[in-house]
Amino acid sequence: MPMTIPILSLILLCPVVGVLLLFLVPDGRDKVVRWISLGVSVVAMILSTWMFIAYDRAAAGFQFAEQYAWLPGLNSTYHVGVDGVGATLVLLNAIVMLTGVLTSFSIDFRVKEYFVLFLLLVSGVFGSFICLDFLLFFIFFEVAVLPMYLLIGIWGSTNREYAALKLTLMLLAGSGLVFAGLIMAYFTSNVRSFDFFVLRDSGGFSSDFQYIAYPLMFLGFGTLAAVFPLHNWSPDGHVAAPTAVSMLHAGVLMKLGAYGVLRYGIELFPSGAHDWSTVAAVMAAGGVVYGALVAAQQTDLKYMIGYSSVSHMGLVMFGLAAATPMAINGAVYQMFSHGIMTALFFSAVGFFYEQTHSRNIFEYGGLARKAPWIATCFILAGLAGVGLPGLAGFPAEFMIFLGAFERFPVLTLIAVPSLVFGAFYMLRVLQRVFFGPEGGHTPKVHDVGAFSGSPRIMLAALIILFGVAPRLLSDVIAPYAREFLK
Amino acid sequence: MMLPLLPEWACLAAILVLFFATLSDKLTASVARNLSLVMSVVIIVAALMAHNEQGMLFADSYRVDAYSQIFKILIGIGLFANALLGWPLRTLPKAQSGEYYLLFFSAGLGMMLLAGAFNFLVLYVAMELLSYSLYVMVGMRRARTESIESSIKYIIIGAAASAIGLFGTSYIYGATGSLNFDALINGLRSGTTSHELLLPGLVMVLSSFLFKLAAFPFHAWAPDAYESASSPVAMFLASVSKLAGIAVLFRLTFMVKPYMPSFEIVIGILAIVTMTFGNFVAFRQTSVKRLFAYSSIAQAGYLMIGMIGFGDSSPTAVVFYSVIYLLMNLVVFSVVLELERAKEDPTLDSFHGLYRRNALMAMALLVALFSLAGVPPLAGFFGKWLLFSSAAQGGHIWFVVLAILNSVISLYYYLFLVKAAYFGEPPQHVDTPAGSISRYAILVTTIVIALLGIYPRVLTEYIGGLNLSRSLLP
Repeated sequence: MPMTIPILSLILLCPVVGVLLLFLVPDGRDKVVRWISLGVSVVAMILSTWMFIAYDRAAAGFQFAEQYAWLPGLNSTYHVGVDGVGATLVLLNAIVMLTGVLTSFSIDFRVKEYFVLFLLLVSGVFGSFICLDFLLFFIFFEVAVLPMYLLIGIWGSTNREYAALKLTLMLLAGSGLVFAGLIMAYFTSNVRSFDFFVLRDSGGFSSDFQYIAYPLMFLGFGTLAAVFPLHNWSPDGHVAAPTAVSMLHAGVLMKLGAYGVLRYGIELFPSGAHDWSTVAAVMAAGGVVYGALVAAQQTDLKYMIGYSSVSHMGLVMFGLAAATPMAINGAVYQMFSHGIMTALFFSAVGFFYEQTHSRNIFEYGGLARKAPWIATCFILAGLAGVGLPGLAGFPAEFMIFLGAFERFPVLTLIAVPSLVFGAFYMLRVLQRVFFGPEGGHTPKVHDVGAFSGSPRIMLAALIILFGVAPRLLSDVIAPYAREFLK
Repeated sequence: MMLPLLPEWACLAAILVLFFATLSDKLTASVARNLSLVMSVVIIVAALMAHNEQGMLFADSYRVDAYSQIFKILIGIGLFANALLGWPLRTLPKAQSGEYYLLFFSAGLGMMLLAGAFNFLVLYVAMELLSYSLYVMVGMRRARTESIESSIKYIIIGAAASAIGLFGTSYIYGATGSLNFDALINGLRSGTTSHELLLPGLVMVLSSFLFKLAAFPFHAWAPDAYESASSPVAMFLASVSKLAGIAVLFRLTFMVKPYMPSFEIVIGILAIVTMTFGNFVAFRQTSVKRLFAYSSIAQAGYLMIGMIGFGDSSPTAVVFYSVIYLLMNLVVFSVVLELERAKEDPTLDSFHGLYRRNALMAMALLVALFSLAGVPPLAGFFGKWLLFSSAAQGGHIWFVVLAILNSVISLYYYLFLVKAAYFGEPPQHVDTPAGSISRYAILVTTIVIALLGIYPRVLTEYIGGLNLSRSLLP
């Protein structure tokens, strides 16, 4: 498809330009800072939607490719392009970026620095999803991870310094593994190139090498995807982070980990992935069960969501480990739907927290009467999380289990009940917080206004949209999953 | 004879200018500093003019080639930056600022001679010229007895290292019958020299380099010297003075390693021990200058990993990393100097709330520390990539894995500083921001560190174009 507009570069440029513009804004002009950030997010959203619609579903494969020289001595180029997975995740990132910026309008401490770091993080994520060059991908990957340290440490809440340090160290230890794998892959390949296609098609990695290289990728990226037992930075990090950063982090960053495993792990080292798939599946299923069980013990809403994210990301990794077309399809679908769902969760909890400074479920009750809009949003997210048909979570989980059953019937049978259990605890929390007698903090809560409601309602609408019409997404993902096994 | 040695002549001229200036009683610290700034610019210009020269001088004992010349340019820039940023000389006796800058340039001359040394005796003389200047500089802060103490410690370790080095030189002389480097290489190449005598000799000579680099096991002087010396001296020790050690160690390693794989292994093991030791001990430091001393010990280890790299890639890697090593340490020590306004000998607590007191310094510190840790997309990442990939290409994959692990560990204590600077509450005392010139200098250096990470081609292609590996081999 002839494509003259470099749309992916334009999408990437939106947050980058935003960062540069923000540097020019004089101190104290917080309003200007917020509106510039919103402006670039809207543009990124429009461009990403357009890209998603223009993606040729019949042709499939990588589209919108661009390639420019960067480091010719190393055979590393600025090479971008998206396939079904990339297009889906770019759209997700744009959605979370826009809603995150809207949610962040309530930040009033060091506004400029906050948005600079926020947009920097988003640029890193966009860059990672569109890059087809391993070295450049790794660089964008780090740009996506590092701002978290300051965002949590400066603007965070509960135990923020501890959480920020733990998160950064664990994620960078993961990056260290990836970096080691990167150097090994580069020097072992026949081609001395960082280009994804070149490495994949003519890298000539022996199965012995893949057996060593794949675990580096799986554990390295898996740390970011919070694969059990490397997950324990994640709930602390989510709880400490400011609302919009939790949204980005659970919504997109963890997906970046799963994406890394998929693209630079499974696709690059298929035989290694196959050799290790049982171990990977056990770890993933462990995460599903463990996350669900621990989530049910929590009284802090953010911890509950944090652990349920571990459980849901476990499902994604489970689908990837099974690696049947159906399971891959479901895993990618789950990345998207969990991204939106969890963004909505954090956004709604953040809304309560700003007003009451409490996230304890026992201090709420009867919120549905007091704040019906936000209650509706939260309940929708909760129901999507338990996989209610008609919402975005259902098709994803259904496809993962259906696809994984062929390969890991026992593990699937262990993982499914945990979802039932998940439904139980979610309903219990919904009941306690939104219905029943009014809790201590309930009187202080006001419902969202038109502006503060917009990001939440947007996300809620998307959950319904992608639940009712899963084909919007699966048309893009399915061709990728079909190609996958070849 | 004049043109190839132009930078050395310029350095000598600087020493004489400062010498005559100190004879006047009217010499104030700021006049001495301005003179030094001018003379460093002269040195840089001289080094640039001579950058294409090459030749063997003084009966083949001194070599001028692309490799020595690029280090001379770097040394010139390092001297200039130290004169600019290593200011004010708060903790040095006022009357001695002239002498301080005199020693500054005599150390500079020693470094330049080291970069060109092609004979073990020239090497020894250059090394001593540099070391003696530094011994005095470290001991100059006479208000503190620790300054004298650390200077004496420095001298003793230095003397031991020199003695071992000279002893090793005698072995090499015994094996090859000459003190020139090319005799050593010719002997190795033709296979006539016995390795039994040569390897111990080389390893012993190595000790003087390790001392200069503050690498294991000759590192012990560094933390004390950094801590108790005046901060501009610490900056000098950490930034520019190491370049000379790197230059000469790499020259020798590069020539010897094709014929002596065991020498390569020795360097690799020392590198790993050095960086591991530096990183683990840095954890426990509360004095900022000690912490950076250990961090620079670790950095020397990374550089040594690059030295055992493969063919053409390793000179590029080592020179590239030397450049950014210089820049990163300049920024870090500028911040230390800034903190000294509030308190002599800053501790970790001094960093608290730096972000609110002086946002520029905090940002510069953040960039420099992340770059030191090798986090993309900063220059430090690319530098480490070059070093590690070069070693990986040379077949030392396990050394590389250990070095990467070390980088992750080092991030821990760097993050501690970032945490203090960004999350901590500022102390009551509010200090004045840095003078405008050093502010701009720090800003520019920081931007360069960031840009070199995104677009390293500018520098790597220049260095690659110099064809260093050809110029390094006789």
